[in-house]
Amino acid sequence: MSKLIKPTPTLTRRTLLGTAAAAAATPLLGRYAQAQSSEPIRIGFQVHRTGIGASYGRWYDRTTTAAVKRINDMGGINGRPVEIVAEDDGTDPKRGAEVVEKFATQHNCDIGFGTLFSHVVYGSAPRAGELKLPYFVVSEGHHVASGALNRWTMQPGITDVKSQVQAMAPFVANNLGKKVTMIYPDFAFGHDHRDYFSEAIEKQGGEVVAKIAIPPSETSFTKYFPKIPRDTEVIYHVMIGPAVLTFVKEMGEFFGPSKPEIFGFLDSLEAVDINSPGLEFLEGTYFWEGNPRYAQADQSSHDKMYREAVGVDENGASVSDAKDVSTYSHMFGCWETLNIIKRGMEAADYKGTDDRSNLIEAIEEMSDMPLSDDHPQGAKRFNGKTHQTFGHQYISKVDSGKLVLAHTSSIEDTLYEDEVDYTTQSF
Amino acid sequence: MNKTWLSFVLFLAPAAAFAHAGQQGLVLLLPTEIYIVSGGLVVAATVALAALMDHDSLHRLFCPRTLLALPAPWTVGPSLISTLVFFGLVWLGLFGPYDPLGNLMTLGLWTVLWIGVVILCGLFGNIWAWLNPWSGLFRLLSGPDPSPPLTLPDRVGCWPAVVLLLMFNGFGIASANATDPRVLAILASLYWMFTFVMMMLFGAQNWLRRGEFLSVFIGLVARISPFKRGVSLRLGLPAWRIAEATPPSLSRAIFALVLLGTGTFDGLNETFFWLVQLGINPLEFPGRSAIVPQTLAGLFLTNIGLCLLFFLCVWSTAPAQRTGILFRRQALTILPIALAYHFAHFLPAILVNGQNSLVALSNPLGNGADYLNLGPFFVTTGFFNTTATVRAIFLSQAGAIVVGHVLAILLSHRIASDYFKSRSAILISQLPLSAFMIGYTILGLWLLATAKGA
Repeated sequence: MSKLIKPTPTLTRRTLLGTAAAAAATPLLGRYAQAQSSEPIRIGFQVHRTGIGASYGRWYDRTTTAAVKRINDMGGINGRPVEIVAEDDGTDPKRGAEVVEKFATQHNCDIGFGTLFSHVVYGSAPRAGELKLPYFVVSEGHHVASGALNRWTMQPGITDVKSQVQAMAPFVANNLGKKVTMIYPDFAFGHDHRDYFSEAIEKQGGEVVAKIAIPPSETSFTKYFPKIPRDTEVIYHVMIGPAVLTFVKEMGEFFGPSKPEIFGFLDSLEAVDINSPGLEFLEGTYFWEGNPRYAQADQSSHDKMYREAVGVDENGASVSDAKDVSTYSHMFGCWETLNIIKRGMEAADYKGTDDRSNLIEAIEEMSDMPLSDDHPQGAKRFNGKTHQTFGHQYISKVDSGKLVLAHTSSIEDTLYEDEVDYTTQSF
Repeated sequence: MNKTWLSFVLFLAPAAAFAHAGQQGLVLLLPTEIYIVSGGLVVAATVALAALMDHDSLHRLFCPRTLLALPAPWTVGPSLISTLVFFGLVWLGLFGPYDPLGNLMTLGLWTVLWIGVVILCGLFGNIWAWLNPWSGLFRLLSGPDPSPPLTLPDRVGCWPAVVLLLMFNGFGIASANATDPRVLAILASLYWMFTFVMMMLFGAQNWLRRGEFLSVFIGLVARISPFKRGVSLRLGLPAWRIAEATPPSLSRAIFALVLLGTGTFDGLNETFFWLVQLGINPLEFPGRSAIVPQTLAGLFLTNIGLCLLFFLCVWSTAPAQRTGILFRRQALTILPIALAYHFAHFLPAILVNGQNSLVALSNPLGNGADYLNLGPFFVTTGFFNTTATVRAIFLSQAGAIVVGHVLAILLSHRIASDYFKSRSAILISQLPLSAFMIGYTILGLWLLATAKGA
């Protein structure tokens, strides 16, 4: 597997410029040859190869490799091949800033791309802004849309947690129940869920009857379950970390067969086999999914193509190892972001680093993006002012050990008022 | 954006969190309390068994057998090849892929050498003596027996190696750049040159035995191997060479203890327990760069604490005039534990980065080549996702730790038998150390079983 993803050797500059006949004979070469320069477009890929984000980084890497191969197979961007320059940030914000700086000053990258963990985004984005490097994060954090970052930072390929949580409320209130007990880890991540969801469920006529905050260092949860009020109709849980399986197992033991409706975020179990021991209790419960892990009965041709390209089977695992479960709810963001970058560069007639601000402006102009091979997760609506994309969210039910799609939210369910207008900031 | 405002935003703004369950989640569901207690009981039973053994049976236990005579090995060639490979790796580090898991400089140092070669030497003897990238070239340039211009004073002992080992581990555990191929290539070249100069100044064998930390490390670990290749090949119970060894210098004894202390801290610093002590949310690890001073302090204090505790265990029962020699000899008995920790701690890394190494060997420049004809090869971590494989991995780690402690208990009794005559005197002299080792077994197994967040 190539880390420095380069166009295939047959597409070198010499070959391209020297063999006009061959270029005319094959559409692929023909498209490259039309370009004034066949120097590759260099995309700096900030990847969590080591550190706590490594299990995500591996799949972000795999998805990025597949997306760039497809783009190059289709003729590259503006007739130029795309080259990925992957640098590890160690899932560390300080190193993240160093990596961004290397993209801009050492590796001659046109843009930076791919950061996932929020603290690394926070550490890196200011440097990207100072260096005037277009910086495309695939993080799911609300940091971009909140206005905390800068005009050079965008999140066009994955929705943010605020819109995701908000979009769950109508389904929960109308199908599962109106009295909700929330169980969440007692720090910013959990507090975001608590605050966004409390507000959203009230708008649906529901209420949060208990908010059970679990200390992050907790690894046993039995003492918290008696705090769940008896009139609870739905439990909303967003536990994360290594103790998630224990949490689910102990919740199952507490309730036995007569459990309330249960709704959770798949962030808890991303890259974890839903059939792991201890998770039997999840049968019949519901999960938010960013992108349905299991191929559904009405699978789109786009999802089918995307799975094949990345090497993921119909259960969301690697084609080479059925137990190697992917980060399917998140990694599509790399694929879609790269395709948006491609369209942005084409719209801006991007030729080199002098056109970086034109690229940002071209993407700011974008809005609706239909479900397609470029957007296999679903249609998107990009907000150029907030630099944040909005899209469909999925709710799946665990049925016979598989996640079966029960509801697809509308894009409108995910929208909220703008909190920033980056287009008013100068470059 | 000023920092205060950024902190304010950081506090208020929503954070996406992605700590994931995976292997640790399954380990937390295993009956690890039973495994921990069982491991402690096995080591305690070994203490009881050792108490039944007298001086002669303890000596017989660690007595090797001679298998066959061997010709002297050809050492210059392998070392020269190793030098070439080393500079090939440095070149790849400087000019190859930026991705640490795709660059053979990073994989060669942290996976192949630091994990693979160390464990192989622990099992089969000191192949590093042939494979180190200095001695062949040195001999080629300086001849077989050059007299060095300077003498390394005896009082220096192998303290340089202790200091270098701590620096190396401090870098490896605390630095956010510890896997950066460019950084590693530069540091490794500087270290190679430094070592070569010191060999020229103080003599090759002298520096490799007392200053070069990898050679000192592997030289000690190789004493655990059941094999010893000299004029003839000898075979005995693992660690028989530690039982027979002449008393090491104080600095070498401390080096051995630092190996264990460092291995312990390497496990400890990932745990929820440690992160909570530092006031860090274990579900939101801020990155290595945020806690460099704390990590270095932890590494230093763990080693100081371990050395002091070990000294107290020996001192409390040793006759005054023999405390020093007993401390130095007994310190080497922890080598099997240190190797066991090394194996246990790095087993998951071997399983994943072994695959990465294979891919990088096939595609060393990251340009899409496939010299090993692997075809489409996706590195997998699926074995961290099933109970059966996670249990197998955990029990392999736990088994190694228990075996390491069993050997250490037998060794410590064997060494004590050189200084205490009766069975009861040996037993009493070893009570504190035995308690220490039972405790350390439980600590080691707990480190494997407890929740981790870094």
